Amino acid sequence: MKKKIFAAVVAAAMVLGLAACGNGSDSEETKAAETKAAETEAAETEAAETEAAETEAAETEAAETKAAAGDGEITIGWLQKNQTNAFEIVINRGGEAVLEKAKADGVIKEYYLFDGQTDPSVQVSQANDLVNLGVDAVIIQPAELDGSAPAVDILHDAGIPVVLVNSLTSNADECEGLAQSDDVEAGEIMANYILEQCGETGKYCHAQGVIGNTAAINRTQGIHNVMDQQSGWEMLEEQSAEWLADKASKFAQDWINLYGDELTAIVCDNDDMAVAVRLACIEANREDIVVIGVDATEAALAMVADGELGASVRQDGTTQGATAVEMAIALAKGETLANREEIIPFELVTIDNVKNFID
Amino acid sequence: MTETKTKKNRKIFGMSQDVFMKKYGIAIILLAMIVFMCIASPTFRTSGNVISILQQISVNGVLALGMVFVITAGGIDLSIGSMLALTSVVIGVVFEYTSSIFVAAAVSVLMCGLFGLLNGVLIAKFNMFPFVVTLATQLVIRGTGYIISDGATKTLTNKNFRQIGLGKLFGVVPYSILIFLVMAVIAFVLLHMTKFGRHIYAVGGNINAARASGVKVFRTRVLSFVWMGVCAAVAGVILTSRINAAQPNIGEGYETDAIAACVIGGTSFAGGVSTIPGTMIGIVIIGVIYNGMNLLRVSSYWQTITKGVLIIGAVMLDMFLNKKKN
Amino acid sequence: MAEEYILECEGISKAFGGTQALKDVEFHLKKGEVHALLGENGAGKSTLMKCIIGLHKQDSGTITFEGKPYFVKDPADAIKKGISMIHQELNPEPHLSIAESIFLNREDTRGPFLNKKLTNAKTEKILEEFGFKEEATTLMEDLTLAEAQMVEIIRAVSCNARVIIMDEPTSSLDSEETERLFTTIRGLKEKGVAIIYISHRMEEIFEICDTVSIFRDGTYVGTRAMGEVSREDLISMMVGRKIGNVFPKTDCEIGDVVFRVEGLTGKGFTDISFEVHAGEILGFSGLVGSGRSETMRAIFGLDPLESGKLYLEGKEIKIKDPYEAVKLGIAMVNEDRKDFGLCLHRSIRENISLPNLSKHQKGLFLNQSRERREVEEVSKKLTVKAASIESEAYSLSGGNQQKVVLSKWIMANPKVLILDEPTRGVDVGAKSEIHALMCQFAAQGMAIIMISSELPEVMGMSDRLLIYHEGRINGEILREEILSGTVDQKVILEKEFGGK
Repeated sequence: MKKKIFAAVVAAAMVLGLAACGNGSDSEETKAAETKAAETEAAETEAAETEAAETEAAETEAAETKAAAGDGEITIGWLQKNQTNAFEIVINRGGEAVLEKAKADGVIKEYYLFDGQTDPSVQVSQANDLVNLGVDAVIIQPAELDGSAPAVDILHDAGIPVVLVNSLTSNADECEGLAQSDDVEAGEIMANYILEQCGETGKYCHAQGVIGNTAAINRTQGIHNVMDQQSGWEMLEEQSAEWLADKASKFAQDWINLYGDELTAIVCDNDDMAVAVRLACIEANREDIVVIGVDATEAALAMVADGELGASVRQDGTTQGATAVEMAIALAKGETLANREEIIPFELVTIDNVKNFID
Repeated sequence: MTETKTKKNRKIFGMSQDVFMKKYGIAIILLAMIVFMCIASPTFRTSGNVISILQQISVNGVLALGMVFVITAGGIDLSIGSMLALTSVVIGVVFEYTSSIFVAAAVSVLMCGLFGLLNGVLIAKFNMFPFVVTLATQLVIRGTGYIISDGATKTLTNKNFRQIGLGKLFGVVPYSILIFLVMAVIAFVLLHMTKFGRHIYAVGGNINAARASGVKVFRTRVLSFVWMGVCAAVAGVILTSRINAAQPNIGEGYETDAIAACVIGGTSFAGGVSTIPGTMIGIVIIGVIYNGMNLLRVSSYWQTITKGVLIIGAVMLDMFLNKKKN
Repeated sequence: MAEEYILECEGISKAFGGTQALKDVEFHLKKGEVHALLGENGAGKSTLMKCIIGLHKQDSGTITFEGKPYFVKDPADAIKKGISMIHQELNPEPHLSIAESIFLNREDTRGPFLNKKLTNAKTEKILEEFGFKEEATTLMEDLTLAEAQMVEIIRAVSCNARVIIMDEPTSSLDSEETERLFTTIRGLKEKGVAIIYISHRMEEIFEICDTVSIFRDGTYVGTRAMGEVSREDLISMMVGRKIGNVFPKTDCEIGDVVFRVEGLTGKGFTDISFEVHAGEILGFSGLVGSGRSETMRAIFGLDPLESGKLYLEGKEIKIKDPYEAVKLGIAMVNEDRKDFGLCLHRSIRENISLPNLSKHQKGLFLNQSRERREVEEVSKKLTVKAASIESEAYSLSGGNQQKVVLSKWIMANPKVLILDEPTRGVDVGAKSEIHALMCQFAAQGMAIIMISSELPEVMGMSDRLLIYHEGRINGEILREEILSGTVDQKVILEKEFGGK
């Protein structure tokens, strides 16, 4: 409700902003005008571009000719899931660094970052805005599996290539590029860690993310892939704490009271929940309960480093963001991608390797 | 006619049935819930679980202790969820710099108090609807939190802060419960034993009569919101310590629980009617519902629905017990 | 009697609680006449009108409309049957256009949608008939009071009203607007519409009305053709009650001037000056709406004062809000007990101590045992009848509620006590108790200002009496003059109606 109102206000503001920028039919004229104006600068620009192309050449093959041929007017749009959640910020920053560099190098002219506020309806309207802005490629980090699909449709129908980062939409096959991590893998890593720590037998609880969210679904599936094979393991509870620390903390308290010594492990779909759950265990003098989460947030890593939290599964958000942006830039230039789907692997962070991930 | 009369005049503990139910009806419901839970779940009555319940209600409890003043004075505050988040990020900044729990808490109380003042002045001075004003300021406050934190969650590296949530007095009673109980005592004294409390009741009961009786209506209304802000900051301190992180996106939906606790506890939305003991019972009822449903392994989605149904039930019960004479 | 009466009321009675508002009243209205209703405050005019438009249901008696028995559910039903009332407070829907207002609840539709065009066209036509110059789409809030009133009248006519009731229609109009209203009334008369005209303004009644019916204390006194009566006749017919020994005013020593006002002007009153002495009861009489309550509310800080000066014990004071008045020792019992007197859902104790909390303060806290003791004391002194001082105020009778309001101010021990209609809605027993208390307070040296619309009461209780007429003081009468009989109700009423 509140979110919706907020979204409406933001949307209204954006519409006004776009109106002020002039409508779509003008844009070609403007472009033409700009090209003319640019003619005088052409020599300079071209020189700069060749330079840029040269620097890029080390990284991407076959780029230079097209970059040189490009008019230096590539614009990239990015529908970010939100700009507030800790993990989303990691992805955002990872990609934004590449965009900033590309802009400084003159590979792209401009980029647009939109905050989707974790609301698919906001993302859909923002997709329309990007079409109007005439961007050349778009990165989407979907807020929801189904809810954000229309945003992909809109861009696809407008002939703009789309790269999905971090999670998928139900119409992902329409997309030109995918920079993903496999959340099933994350779930499997967590389950394997639990087995490794607790042995053949035990009972565990699972604090889920928001039901219907791709990451939550896949992580849950990964956990079950491993745990359901184990005859010695039983799942006591599977409840949605909606990614929230305080909710997960309450569940943990109640589970500890309810199951007592039977409870050997609590698996969490993210680190916000894992940290709070672990604190609840410490408070109840149940340090023996093994807790693990995904994301390797700053808080979780600090606890891992102190030996308070067993482990976290690190999703490489920085690489996800960076890879997605690189794919989008390549698509904008008209290149075909070597791999349509890039899988960025998860890794287990324990006290042994945590130093590598703390600044 | 005579039949209904005799029915109404039945006495319980020397009180007419009406008066008895009005005073203690909600306590009886709580008692019934507790008895039911004790039978349904052996875990429920363990001391560990009782402590857990108290701990779980401490955040919402402190919020409700603020909300009861605002509603009694005829207002409502929807901005408290944002104030929780603001407190969290303010602690993230101040505590990291000063390493002093006291300074961090004091700065949070000051900031939320100021936003409470803003709410109060907008409402009392310009006669705007509390619902609309706080609906708007919650956005302002949450935005402020995002700006201070740059949108990011920040871990509290200094572990002392955790002691508020995790530490225990004599190794038994968690500090968070102690804070909640102290706030309850303060709220009780303020509402039931001071001039300010009387003015709250008078302003909420009949604003014109209060004014015509020489009550400083403006000041009273504003102070009710300032007190709410202070409570939100204290609740925010407890919440932050429980999750050991400064998070700008926490606290959504907390106003619902706080309002629900007040209403279940017999606070009238029309203003002018409430008690702190009643509110405390309302807080515990909500805590028992959450805890009880977890113990009974009810899915969290059903818990949400149950809470909604319960609020409607409580309001209907309130109307039934407090049949206003026209 | 066989004359074509359009509306006939016979044997109407109506009681509210113990108060008999109408006793066996009759009223006959002819087609096409303007019929004035005249009577003191509380004579029963409004109650009778409310029975006719369906706001009240009479306890007994019959109403016949156009020869047929008339039963009405509510005002909307009355309008449908052909009787409309133009109320004193106009402009109930400020955001509607004239057309929307006139055709409220009778909107033209095209399928499920409003047909605004048609409605507007119809409205333009009607407005033209009445020579009304505004557009149909003009908003009600942009009209002057006189214009809004005109719209109300037009609405009534367009609803095919055969009887239109006008309650104090000229109270907020200037002379030019009044003249325009009269022109309209004459036009309606020609069309055969009967008009019931309630007003306190004698001149107007003589100018526009054909017939007059007089009421007194809920009874019907008589009906006269305007041409056959004089102003004096009418006043004599309105006066009737005798001042008995029901008012136990005891004489007490009158001291120095405690409170004085000079040239007070505000909404509803102009250039008011008076002074009140210690031990004195200063009465204010006047018609409802003559500005007495408005003056007192402004003095007490409830409403703003435009100009004028207040002096308490010789020193000039300024009061912007009631708390300043209370602090200075001025207390006021409002005429509207439920809105301005009590928090109905709080206890007697809390209500009584509300203005006196500073007295019970001990450090930061309230000394509740002392509070309880003092509240018990004062409520015993004022004989508040309740189960306990913890009973909620709404559970009390009107008289006891009023005593609670009095108690809280007595506990505050003010220098000046303003009482606005202190015995309204109070039963006879409680009324004389309140009067006795007033004398007692005066004897203690309090300066008391009392507003009452009940002439015998204000005459019986006052040491001095000021008479209001349309926002100004129109005469001062001393107790001796009343006791010696040089001044009687007729003289006072005359002054209330603007006479010299």
